Amino acid sequence: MSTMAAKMIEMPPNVAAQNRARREWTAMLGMIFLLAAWAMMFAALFFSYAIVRVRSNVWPPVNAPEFSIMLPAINSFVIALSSLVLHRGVSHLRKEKLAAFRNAFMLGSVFAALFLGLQWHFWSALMASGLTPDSGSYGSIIFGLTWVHAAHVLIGFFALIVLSIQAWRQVYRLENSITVRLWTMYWHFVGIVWLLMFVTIFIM
Amino acid sequence: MDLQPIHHEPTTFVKKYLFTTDHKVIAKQFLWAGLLFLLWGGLLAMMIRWQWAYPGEKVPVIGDLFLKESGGAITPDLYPKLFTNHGLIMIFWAITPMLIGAFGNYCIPLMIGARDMAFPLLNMLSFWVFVLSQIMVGASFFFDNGAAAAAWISYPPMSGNIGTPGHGQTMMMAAIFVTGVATIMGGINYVTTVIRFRAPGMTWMRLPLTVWGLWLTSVLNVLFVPVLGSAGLLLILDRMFGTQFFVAGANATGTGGDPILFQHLFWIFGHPEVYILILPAWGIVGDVISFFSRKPAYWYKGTVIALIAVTVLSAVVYGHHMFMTGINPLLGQSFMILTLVISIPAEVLFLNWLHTMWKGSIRLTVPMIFALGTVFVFGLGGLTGIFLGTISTDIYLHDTMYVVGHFHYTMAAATFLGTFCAIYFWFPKMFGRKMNPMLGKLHFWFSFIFITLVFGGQLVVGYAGQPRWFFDPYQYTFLQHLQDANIKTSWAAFALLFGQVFFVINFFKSMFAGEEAGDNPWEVGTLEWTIPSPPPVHNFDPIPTVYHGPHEYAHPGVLEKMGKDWLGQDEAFDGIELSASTDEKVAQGA
Repeated sequence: MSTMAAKMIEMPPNVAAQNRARREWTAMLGMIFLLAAWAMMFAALFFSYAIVRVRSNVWPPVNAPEFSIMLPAINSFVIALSSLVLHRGVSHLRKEKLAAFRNAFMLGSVFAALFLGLQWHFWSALMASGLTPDSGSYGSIIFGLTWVHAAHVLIGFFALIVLSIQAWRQVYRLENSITVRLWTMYWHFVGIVWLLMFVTIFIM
Repeated sequence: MDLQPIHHEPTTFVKKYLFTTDHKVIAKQFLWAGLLFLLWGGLLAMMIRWQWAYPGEKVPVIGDLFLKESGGAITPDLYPKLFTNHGLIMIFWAITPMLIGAFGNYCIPLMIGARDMAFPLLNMLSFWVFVLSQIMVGASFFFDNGAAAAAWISYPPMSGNIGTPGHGQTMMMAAIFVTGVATIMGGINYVTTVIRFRAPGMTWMRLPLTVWGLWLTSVLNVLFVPVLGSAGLLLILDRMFGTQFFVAGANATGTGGDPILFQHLFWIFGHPEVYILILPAWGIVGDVISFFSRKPAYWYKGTVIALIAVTVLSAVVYGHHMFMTGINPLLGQSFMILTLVISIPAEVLFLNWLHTMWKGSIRLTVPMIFALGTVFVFGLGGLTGIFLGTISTDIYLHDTMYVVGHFHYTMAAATFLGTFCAIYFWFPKMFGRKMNPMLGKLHFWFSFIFITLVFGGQLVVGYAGQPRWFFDPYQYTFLQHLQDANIKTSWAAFALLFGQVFFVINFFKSMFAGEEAGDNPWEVGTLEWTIPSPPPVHNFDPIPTVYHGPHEYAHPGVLEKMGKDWLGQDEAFDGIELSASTDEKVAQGA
């Protein structure tokens, strides 16, 4: 086991627990490669945005309707908060505080739903103000990139619902916590991508 | 619980042959799926060749069956669908499943001494998602306006709603996305398995070259297929939801989408893809040449370094596909230099293979001649590529049949022969029976001679100025004199198809009535040959311990004490100096 793995997973003394730690590291490695693949997909989207943007004279375009970035800003808080909550939840699970773990994941699911709801509201508001997916590359970037991101949030949202139900039934303990930890990793990843989108698309 | 537990063999048909998590059965599933689509893609190729030889004339057999409306001839409407689907089917649904899906699945766990993949369930899912994508390809032919027709590169505006209206093109883009997901799932599995499941003693520098090739391919798959996924996704958004990522017309209003953007995304994926397809073949060839020259692979470490160098370089050369897009000349020059630099590691590989054979006791078995054929046609592909990587010559050769000939040598001929090298080599392990060498050699000579002639013919007419993708080149006076050459090339293609009959007969006959192969018919030392053919569900009873590199041949000490010219990777043999193929530090440690 590499030193990096040893740092991420404390090596317990007995063989069964060591084997569990090895299996967990294998699973985590798989997740890391999966996220690497997904990072490349989003990198390609950001690359597209960069090309479109550097090739246009003015950005945003002169005739583009003004809109408030309030909703995306709130959503950044929501998703950051949800990541924090899930992180706390995982540390509760590590200490086998099952009730606190369950509550954290239920709260996390609520935040995920809130994020999706606010996104929906944001898209509707944009369309009402006259900015649609087919109004030039500006609309394409804003809608296309946030759509793809929201699709990933949706996957994470369903996972959180399932995890919360399982947490309610007390399925998870420290031994099988890897599933929870991997989905939390996924959720952090989706959150980081959102923050990058918020900064590059809505602030810059 | 054991790290790699032994599972019982499933008893129901569905669990044993359909929804199986056994990597060996999944490998066979991929092989069948790939062979089926290889036949389909091959028939499409024959129709293209017919069109270039005898435009407007009735296609034999296929014309009677499928083209009744036009009296059996290929119409201008049908023609782009032929080459579009030929390219995409061959790349994503024939070569990828066979070289990577089938032999990746089959060889990786067996050669590293593992009981299965790291994520068996993901492996099963990967195959069935792949099948879904194949069904989508089939379905794309039944929409109004028919199948995809924007060439395999699917450039907008051709692939946009105006260039190719109808849902066939959209469906094909979605199918590419779905097969990409399957490929990524497989890639994650292969990469993780090699990192985590190597048997004790199987250090990185003792891995068979096949595993190295497949592992590097998987790394590229995991990192670059998602970029194609993005390109496909944005194109689907453009087609279905009215976004304008690739719509140039929007430029006039100040905020333009950019069709060139698609080319960037496509080739960021597309160039690594060339190496995704050839790296497994290179790995296999490296092993097979050493096995049948009965010599250690010359400078094993150098081969590994060269493979890694090619992998890394493949990610930074994509711009050489875009010299003609008005790319900044400085950028073009950088891409040109990086492209030409690839020939250095490629030369290392070629010289190592030649050195491996030098003064070896060469056994010209069927896998060996296929391996040598692979080396030869890839050599031709590599050499002709230099003129496309160089801007000044590319300006003339761009979009001519020369390009088609070049990339078919590398991506088609080399992977085709490499795949058959793998099939002939591992068939005894997969099915427990030997293939007929006589039919195998007939298959080889037909395949090798005619595949060389087909793509050579394309190089020649391309150099003479024939553009690719022309429906009827002879409408143009300056191309009329090339019809003779094209007819000859087409007949070489038909002969190539005919030669495959030997393989089909051999494959099915050997599967049921071939001679029993035994554990190790080729007398080689890698781990898959230490277990019965076909292997049991759990592969290895005890997980083997590895003492040597994969190519321990013709060692005098071994010959003297054991009476054979090879040493298994799991055979301890103290008191001999290990050959050059083994890492020195490892030798000291072991």
